Amino acid sequence: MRRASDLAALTGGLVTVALGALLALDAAGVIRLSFGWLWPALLAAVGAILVASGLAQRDR
Amino acid sequence: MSTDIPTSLPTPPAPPPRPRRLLRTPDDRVIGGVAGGLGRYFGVDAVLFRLAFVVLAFFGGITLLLYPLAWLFVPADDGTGRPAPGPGIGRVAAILALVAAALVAAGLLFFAAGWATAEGGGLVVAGVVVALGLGAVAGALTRNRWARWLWVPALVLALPAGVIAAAGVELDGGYGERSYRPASVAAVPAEGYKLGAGAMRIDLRDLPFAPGTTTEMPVKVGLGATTLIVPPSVCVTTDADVGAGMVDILGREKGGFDVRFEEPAGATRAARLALRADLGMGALEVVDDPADAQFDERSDHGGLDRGGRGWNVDDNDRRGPADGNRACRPG
Repeated sequence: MRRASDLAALTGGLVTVALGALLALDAAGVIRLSFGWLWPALLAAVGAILVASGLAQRDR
Repeated sequence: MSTDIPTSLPTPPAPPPRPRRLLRTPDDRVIGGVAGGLGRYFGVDAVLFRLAFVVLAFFGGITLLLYPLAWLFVPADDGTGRPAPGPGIGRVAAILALVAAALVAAGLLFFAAGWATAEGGGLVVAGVVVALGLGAVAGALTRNRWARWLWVPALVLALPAGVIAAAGVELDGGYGERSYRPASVAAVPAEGYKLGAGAMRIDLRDLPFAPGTTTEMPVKVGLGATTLIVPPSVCVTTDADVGAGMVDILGREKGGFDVRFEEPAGATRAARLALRADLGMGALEVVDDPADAQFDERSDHGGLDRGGRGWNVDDNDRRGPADGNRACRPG
């Protein structure tokens, strides 16, 4: 159980770091964030956390 | 001597019976074991319920109400398929208070992140999101009980910041309702009209538009509705970007996310108004009759509560000529 939560937390942390980096690049004017990017990025983020959680549960 | 010969193949082991009662699963949980319990009860993968909870949290937020209630009122499995003894009234009150505090904190974080991003603090918000994410990674690696949940507030911050950034909302033009009616071209600001959030009405019917001339009209709005009223004799050329919302230029409409509306003039000799609009979230409309305005509170049909069409645009319910600006036609 603990391992499952740790893998989900690790993935959640990495995913939010990636989202934060995207936001920083947009704020700095390096990229131009649009909804065409945002929805897939958010869904991919949530999906990655769920997949990590599911995989860890199965390995338990 | 006799030999027993099996007459059929050994049957595979039967799946564990589904529980008769919905119970939370302490041995299969991400937060409170609600999704795990639902998965076990319905005999499907709990990930499906987790995905549904996450999606519903973002769209409508019903998860924020349902999940805590289920966590509170659905008993946990005691390990033998029977409900574990429930918490006392004091513990229930404590959990409710904790959930209420968490919801208020999440709401405050949500709006603060959106507002800060729109006010130009996007880099700060992004830095906080990255820092919280790194904290969650460190918490996961060190198995810190609390730090590994830091990705949750990070996601709460990242969502509104991302929406505001994607829409390009900037609130640096002030707030409120604005109304302009310039009487000469010199009275039109060179940088155009700008509004952070609110509603803006620009009435250009008094401007002396001369045939063959072009008047530049930059408009920038972060959040809200803008109505331009032009004389029917003027040809409006449009170059508009809207993050989320709609554009209605003399009956021609376009709406949704990442809206780009371009309409150049034809070979006309009429006076031209070159509209360059940049909207974050909201609506932009150009009308040649104030009664046609959907978003202007002063017009007979405008406003959201006066029987106007408001924000709910139905393509089959178009008023006036749907063939755009007649003044732009050659001739």
